[in-house]
Amino acid sequence: MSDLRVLCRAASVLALALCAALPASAQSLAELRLRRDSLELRFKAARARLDTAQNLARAVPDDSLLLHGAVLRFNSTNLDERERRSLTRAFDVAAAELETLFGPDGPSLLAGQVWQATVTGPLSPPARARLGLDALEGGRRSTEGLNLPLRTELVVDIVRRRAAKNLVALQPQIRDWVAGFRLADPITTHYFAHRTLALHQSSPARRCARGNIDSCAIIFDPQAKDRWFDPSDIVNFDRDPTSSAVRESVLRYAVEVNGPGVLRAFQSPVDSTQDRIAFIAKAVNQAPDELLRGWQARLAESGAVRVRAAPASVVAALGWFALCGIVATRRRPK
Amino acid sequence: MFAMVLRTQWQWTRAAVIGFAALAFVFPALAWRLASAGSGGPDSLQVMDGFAALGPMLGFLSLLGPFVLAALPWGIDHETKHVYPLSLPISWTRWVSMRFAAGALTLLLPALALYLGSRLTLSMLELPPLLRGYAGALAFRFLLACLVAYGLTFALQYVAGKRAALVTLVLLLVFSALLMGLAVLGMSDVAESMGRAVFEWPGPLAIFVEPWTLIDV
Repeated sequence: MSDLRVLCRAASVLALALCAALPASAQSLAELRLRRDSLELRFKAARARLDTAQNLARAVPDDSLLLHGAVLRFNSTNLDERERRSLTRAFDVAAAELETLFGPDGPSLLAGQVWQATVTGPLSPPARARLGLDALEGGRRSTEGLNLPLRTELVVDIVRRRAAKNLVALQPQIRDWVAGFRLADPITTHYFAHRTLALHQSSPARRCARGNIDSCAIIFDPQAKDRWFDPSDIVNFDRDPTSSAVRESVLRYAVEVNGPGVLRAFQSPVDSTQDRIAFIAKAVNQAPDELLRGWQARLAESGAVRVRAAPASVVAALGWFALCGIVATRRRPK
Repeated sequence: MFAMVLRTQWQWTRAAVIGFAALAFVFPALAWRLASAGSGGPDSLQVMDGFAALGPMLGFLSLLGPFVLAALPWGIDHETKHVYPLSLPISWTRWVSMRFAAGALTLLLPALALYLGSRLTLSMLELPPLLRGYAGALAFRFLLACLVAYGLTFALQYVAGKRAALVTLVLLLVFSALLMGLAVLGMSDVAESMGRAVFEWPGPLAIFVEPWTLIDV
């Protein structure tokens, strides 16, 4: 057989094979396209369902209140007008507090919150009933139980805590670092932070409580792990000597110094992963050392502020004493 | 006139005042001693533990001491049917005011004793640099609590007269029964509100429930 013949046969076999493979490939390609389109459609449908669910969750049905951007849903909850007014007042108070702390944009921390009110127990007597306030977020719910009749300050506390959670959620790295920011009373927050540092096994932590700013920088620095404890310390853990109470105190101090700056920093897309203290210091327009110095001074005075009788308590005690004296003179023996 | 009232007040109540002051004086050392029996930590932490456990007893002492100081002079006056004060050329209001002020002045002594006792206890300790003694703050809080307790007892005594003990007992029973009844009926919120009105600022007993501590950060 000549070479030419062999070549012709090979070419014809190849041509036949190509003729058979091309339609098969086209079919596979079409199938793949079909599957891709199907997946795309399913994804769009799922997205639409999610959007609908989210819209439903955020929607304001007739039986709901829109309070400073937060939706408070009652959904046929049999809650009387007085309690509803208490809830409204609580949101107003919380919004005013947030405005004081964070400036005009402070109440925006309430926006997007969805609360579901549910009454459990008999409404008569009303004091036996409890109001469940569910905060709905991303399909999860966390419930806070309150006795009826409502105490406004307790609702304010719940709403404030949720706002604090919303704030730190804007920077997940800071949220994980603080591990629970509550915007609690600053004196108590700083007192417990000071106490934690003052009684800590770590010498740098105690030096920080004494006012050594370099030591404060060390205990907050994740890179200085080998200096968190002195070799002479009896207990030498590789654990961070700053507890969540201490970190919360730093952030609370920053809010005291420049709340609007903190809010702006948390809302900005700045990366907070590198150095948390630097991030917080930048938020309040201070150098890290300056922030730590101010914070430490605040800690140092917290114990005395807590232990000494507050001026309001002194006035109240003297007022009761004087009132009793006046009452005692009212009745003359016969 | 006030000097005379103060002198008689002192003569009638000096035993009670001295006893009360002695208890206040030894209280910090007692708290330390009791805490040291249970723990072997540093002295300053023992005192902190002692006050954490026994601090409320100081509140109780500041409630009980003035009770005696207010009731005793009234009892002596009452034995003579208040003839002496009523025969004086001054108004009843002025007389009671002077008696009230004289009794309140004697409360300075137990507060001073607590301050000195606290200073003495602190002087026996070597406080770490981070812990501070609050002898003055503690004594001042004690004085305020004593004044409130004294004022309440004095008012009750001079308004209710010889039925003061009965009225006090009835008030305590009614208050306790009310709290228990409300709790049983499931109206714990009302009971809680009542408790807050009494024990939270600006309630009359708010000063008693604040922290009683000698050493802190």
